[in-house]
Amino acid sequence: MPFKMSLSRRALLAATFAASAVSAICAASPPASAAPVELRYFYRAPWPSSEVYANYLIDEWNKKNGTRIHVTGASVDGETYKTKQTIELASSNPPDIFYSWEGGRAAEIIKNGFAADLTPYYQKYGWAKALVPAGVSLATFGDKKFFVPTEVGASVVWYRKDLYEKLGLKVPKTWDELMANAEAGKKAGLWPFMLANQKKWPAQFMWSAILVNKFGLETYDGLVSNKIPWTDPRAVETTQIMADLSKKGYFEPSFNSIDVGPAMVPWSQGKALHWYQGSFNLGRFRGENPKCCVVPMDYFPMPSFDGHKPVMSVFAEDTIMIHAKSQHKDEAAEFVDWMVSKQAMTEKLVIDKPFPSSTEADLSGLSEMEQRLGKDMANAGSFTFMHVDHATPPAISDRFLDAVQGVLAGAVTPEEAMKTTEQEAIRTRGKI
Amino acid sequence: MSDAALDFADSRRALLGFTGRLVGFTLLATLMFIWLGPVLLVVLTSVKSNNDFLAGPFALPTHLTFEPYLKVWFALGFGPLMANSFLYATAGSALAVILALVPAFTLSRLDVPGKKVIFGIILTGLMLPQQTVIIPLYDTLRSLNLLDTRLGLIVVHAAYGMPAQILILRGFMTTIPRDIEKAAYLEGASDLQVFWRVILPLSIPGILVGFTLNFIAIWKEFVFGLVLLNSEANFPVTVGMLKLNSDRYMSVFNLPAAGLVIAQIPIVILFILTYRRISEGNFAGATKG
Amino acid sequence: MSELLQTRQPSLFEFARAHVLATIFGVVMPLVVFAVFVGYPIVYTVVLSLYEWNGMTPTKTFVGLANYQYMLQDRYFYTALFNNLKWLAVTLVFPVCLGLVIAYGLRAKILPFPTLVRTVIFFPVTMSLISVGLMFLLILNPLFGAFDTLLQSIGLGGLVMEWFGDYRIALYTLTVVSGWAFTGMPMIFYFAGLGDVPKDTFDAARIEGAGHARMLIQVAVPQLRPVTAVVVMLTIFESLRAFDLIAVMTKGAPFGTTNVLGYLVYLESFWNSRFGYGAALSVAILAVSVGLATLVTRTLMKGAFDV
Repeated sequence: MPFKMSLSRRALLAATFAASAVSAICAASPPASAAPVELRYFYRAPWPSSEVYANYLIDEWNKKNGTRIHVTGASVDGETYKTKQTIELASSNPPDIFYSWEGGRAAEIIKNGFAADLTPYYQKYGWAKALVPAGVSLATFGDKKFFVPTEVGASVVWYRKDLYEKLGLKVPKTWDELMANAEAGKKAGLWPFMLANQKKWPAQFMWSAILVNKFGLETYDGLVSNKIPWTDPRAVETTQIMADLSKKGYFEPSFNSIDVGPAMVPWSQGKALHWYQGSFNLGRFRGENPKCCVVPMDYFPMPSFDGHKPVMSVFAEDTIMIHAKSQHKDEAAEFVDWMVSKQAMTEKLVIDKPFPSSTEADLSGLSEMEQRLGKDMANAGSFTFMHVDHATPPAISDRFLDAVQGVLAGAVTPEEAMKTTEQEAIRTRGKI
Repeated sequence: MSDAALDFADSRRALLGFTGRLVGFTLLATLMFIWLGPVLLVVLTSVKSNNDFLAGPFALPTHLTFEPYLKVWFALGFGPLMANSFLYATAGSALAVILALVPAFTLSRLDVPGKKVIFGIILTGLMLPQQTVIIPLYDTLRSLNLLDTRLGLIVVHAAYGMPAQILILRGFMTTIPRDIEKAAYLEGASDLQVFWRVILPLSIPGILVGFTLNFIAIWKEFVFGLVLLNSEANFPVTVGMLKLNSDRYMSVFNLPAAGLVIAQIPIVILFILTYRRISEGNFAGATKG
Repeated sequence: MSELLQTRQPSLFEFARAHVLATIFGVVMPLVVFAVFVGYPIVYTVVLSLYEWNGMTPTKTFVGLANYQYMLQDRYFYTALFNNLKWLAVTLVFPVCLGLVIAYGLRAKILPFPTLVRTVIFFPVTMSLISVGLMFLLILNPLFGAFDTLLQSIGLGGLVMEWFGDYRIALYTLTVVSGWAFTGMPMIFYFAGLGDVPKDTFDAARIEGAGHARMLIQVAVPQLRPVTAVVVMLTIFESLRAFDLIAVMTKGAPFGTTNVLGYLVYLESFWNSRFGYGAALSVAILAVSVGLATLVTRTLMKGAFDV
């Protein structure tokens, strides 16, 4: 480690003494007092911008504090992260700070003893006040807090404003109105819904939104928290609704082999009317434009079936944990505090994508629609839900996603699909 | 050995009439279309701009652009990936060859009792499906602190490359005439001297073939790299390239296409340099007997 | 007693005394490598298959044959097993037979430009299957893929399918792609093998008036039996190793219909953290490969070699 000019004179003096003393004995390496604490930050980078932003965070930090606490980053892309995380966390030299998930995946990490209890740091830095309430409640397991959300997201029905106008459609208030709009779109030669389900996770967004808005949030919570089995008629019926949409041709052709990225092309070309997806796609919708979006579009929450106020899905998209075995938890917490600071969060909007988890971040640079969505998310409070692959452990959610994809393809019936999911769930968590 | 001498038909012209030649060329065109077509298409896609790409898969680019190459090179970090793959392929193959030399010599030139059994045992390593050893390897490397290290992967590649190398080198050494070493033995040379002075120099072509094949095999390898490595800094090209199949690259195909071309270039160069050696007698012949 | 034997073959001990270095580095060393990297892992896998282990905790729980019990009623296991067999069947039919035909066409000089043909068809063998998979993901993409566009432009638009999204055909798409990449192997082997067949054999058949089809089936195929044995062995192990293409193209989707045993091992151990079950599946792969290898040795290989 080279000496930095910014070292204080006293430190330098001390270091010189120590160095000469040590070298006098055994001609060893530079003294410990001069070496900064080394932190490893292991993160998931599903987007090109994720890496750019992480580099910004690390570089800025090291510029200011590098002589005291030095951070190095290592990234893995979105898909690989799921498997690599376990291996990395269990290794003999685990990262100090790492990207995590919420819900069931987070619970798994906590259960295996990898996550440090962050409750004291929440108090020390006052994170609970600065962060979006839904995010904080997601971070709370029992009476302890285990992660810090750095990005929150919501799933909504995105719709093409121009096509709605052309077809003379109104924003639907109920499920039936939405279906009527979809049918009108289909008659006009459009794909009523974009699904882009090649990677299996997109279809669950719609699935859980339908379930929550038809059978209520308690039903969904019961499912993902192992109180209601997956073979419950309500889960089967929701799957059946998805299957019917597929049978009616409400999704784009070959939806099981189209990925979300490529689907942006037909979406931009105006081939589809709706797309139920997460707000993390806003970066894509924005395209090369400074503000959202490339094409005229807006959103509405998935309407409820009986005309009640719809429940919007708000989730923590990026969450950060500190490793329980880290030797430098206090220093790590300092870095995490920088990650959720106003400066870092505002910069996230410039480099990365919405939405920052801090209510202090300046959203004024966003389009009117994005600002509105940001407010809706903050107002959703803790009255919200995560999607299945966040809420349940990987083994269950993978089987579930597989099964839903199979149903949409016509390979299995909804009953069978939920039965396989339940079998897998029994294997993981036991019978209910 | 020249191919022509091995062909059982004498000459095309003498053998085939007009129809025969027509059939020949039709078959040729079909084969080229199926095997060369996809490769050329990928190369074509890789030099298209985004707009040209949207004009359709067969549309010729309005202008050639190498931007996708630059973009994907930096986005995926092909520099370190290629350096890693190169290291694994070179070190792994070199070690495998070195480990295989003496066994190949012993099993081909000396009268080891139970030769066939020993050889048979070694060969089973060649046929072992990787998945049956991947969990123990993972756990063992982890307890040795070699998980996610370059050294660990090199050792694994070398160990599993060795049987094939013994096979190839043994096949090659069998073809060396016995008289040469007999003379040496009569003069009182030891095994070591015969191996070092006589057999090794004559085996260099075989060593090159074996090394090349092993190099390509390691360059192609995926499972070990995927499971035994963690950090992107250690990934070989195959594992790093998996990223290309995420929707952040698959939206416009010129980026993944350029990535595919980049990953293949070292092999193409090697292929051009060594094709005649590895494709003919030596390669398939080595596995005989 | 030793005198009698010595005249015929020295004992291993005597050989070792006469050739110390050769024994250490030529016999013991490869056998040690074998023991460490093949023998030990197999034993380890078999033992681990009797345990439950999440890959993280230091302790493993003994569960007896529970993993095998589960395996026998796991429909994913059966799907994967049958997919492996389907994979093998398609590979034996498409790339192996085609490789033979191409090799024959080259040796019989039906195909012009032999070097070009060999180079082009062998080229994919040098590509990683990750590259091959990505390439065909681009070509078979339903939105911008070249293959569908081509079919439509020649009036065969009706044949367009969801190549890797339709559960009925996805596996076959994968096997054909893998066959595309594999054809060069059997071609090269058969090409070399045909070069060793005495020319007179073919001449005799030709004088009797045999056409190419007859020459191929009645002359070449029987003569090539040793080569076929090697190629079939190679094909069996290639198809049991099938992993890379699935990892990059479908990840077992849709609904696990493109899983193969190799991928299931990875999925269960490294994805779902069930290393014990993954080990049990590994043992299944081992059993299948030993079974198939024995079958081939008993039939095709019998008398084909005098190694």
